Amino acid sequence: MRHAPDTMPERPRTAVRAVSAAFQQYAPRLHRYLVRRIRRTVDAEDLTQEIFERFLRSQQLDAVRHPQAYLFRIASHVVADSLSQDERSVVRFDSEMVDDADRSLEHAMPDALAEQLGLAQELQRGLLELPPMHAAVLLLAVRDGLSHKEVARRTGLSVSTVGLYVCEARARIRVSLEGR
Amino acid sequence: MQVQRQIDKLLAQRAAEWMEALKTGGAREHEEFSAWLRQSRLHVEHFLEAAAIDREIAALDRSQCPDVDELIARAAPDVVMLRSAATPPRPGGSRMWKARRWQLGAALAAGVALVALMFAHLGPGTSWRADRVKTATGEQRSLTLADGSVIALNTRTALRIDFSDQERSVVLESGEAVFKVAPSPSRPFVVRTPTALIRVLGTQFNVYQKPEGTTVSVVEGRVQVVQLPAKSVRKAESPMPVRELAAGQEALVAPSGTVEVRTPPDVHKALAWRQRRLDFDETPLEEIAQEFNRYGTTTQLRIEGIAPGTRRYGGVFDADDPESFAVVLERERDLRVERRGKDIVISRR
Repeated sequence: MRHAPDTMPERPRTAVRAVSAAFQQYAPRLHRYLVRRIRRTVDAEDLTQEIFERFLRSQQLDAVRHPQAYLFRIASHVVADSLSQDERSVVRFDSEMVDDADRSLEHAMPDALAEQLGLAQELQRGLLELPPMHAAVLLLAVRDGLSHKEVARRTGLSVSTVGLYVCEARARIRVSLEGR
Repeated sequence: MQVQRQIDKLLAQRAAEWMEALKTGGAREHEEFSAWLRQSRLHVEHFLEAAAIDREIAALDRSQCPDVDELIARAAPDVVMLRSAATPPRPGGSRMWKARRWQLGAALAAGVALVALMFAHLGPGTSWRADRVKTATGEQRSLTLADGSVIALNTRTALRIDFSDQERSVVLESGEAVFKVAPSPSRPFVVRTPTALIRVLGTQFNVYQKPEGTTVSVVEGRVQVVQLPAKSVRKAESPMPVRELAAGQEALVAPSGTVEVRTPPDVHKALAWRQRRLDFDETPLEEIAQEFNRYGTTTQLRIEGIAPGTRRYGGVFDADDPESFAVVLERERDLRVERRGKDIVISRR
């Protein structure tokens, strides 16, 4: 992805759209990343390290101008690479590995599904543990995609409080996921 | 361990803040964010997690989430939000959710615990400014105004609220709304539409603004209806005669200037939309299709080659379910009901 050497600063609205488009594109892989992070599977730290190093190495303008989209792209590549490695390691077993094979297949296949379902449940539990207004604000802003102003109107909070609550709620959900 | 947890919390918070900042931030924020990411692997980790969590939340099924209205009510028991359906409900939404929405409607109708909701930019003590409220296709919402009056907006409705010390003014630009007006004889509540002006002292009534005129249905109390000459929506005084409507009466104010007052068998039917029901009685097919289409964001009913007024139907339908009406039509031997993409096309065999 190359960008013309533009002189005009990008308007925020356009930036938002660009970021969410990038996010949509890489979302499924980020999902797998999250599942791995939270489950603390062995390789999760390696993944982050790899993403971090690639981001540091980048000399491209993109890394500065669209850091979020750029980070998502790197992350999704790293996650995709690791997934294909996983698949290979599951499929390629020889006679010595026969004993392990059952176990590794068992681990690799249903886990992905079970993890996805489990994550949604844990998020719901996390939502219930939040103070009710925090949960309401998070759902309106993130699930329903309302602007802070719209959320403020709906809840009767001030716009700045909405901003505060969105961040706090997101952070608390993150911490509650880790605690499990 | 304790310290690590504390750091985690702080980083999660910081990452969450970046998520918000990047939504509106410009070049400077992006540079700062990039620098922050370069500081630590942990920063990258927390930010990716925050983004992934947002994505997970966005993908949650509405029926599996706690109800937003309930959460808000629990957080501030003295503020009752009556917005019934924020966004077009997804097909197959849970029954529980629907049931709750009905309860809210019932609470509204009963006038239970209505507490003023201030709009975000209007702190106490400031005077009311004009406020514009709109609903999208399929959306319904309720507003409780500072005086305790309640306005419920039906789908595709736009109105302006403008309260002063002398008058509580609402301009219904398009669509349909029901008004439950808190009594305040010194400060009349006035609803204006392109063709009519309705002055109230404390009552409940429905106003439906259609291209062919304004229909006013009075459920409680009395209202005065003034027919306006074209293009004078903002002027309270009008040369046209005042008609007074009592509870149970309905008036159709046409753009041509005629005011037709009638007493329908059940004026409450005009409020059926509050429960997202559509109530038809000997209603022409094309009008029924138009009503469903007013709510439908995806499925649209289209009629091809059937002369208006030649077929009439009655019944009560779920406004979000045009399919249920299509099933009725399928039983008609001389009609053909076809699904073409998102549309349901009705034609003669």
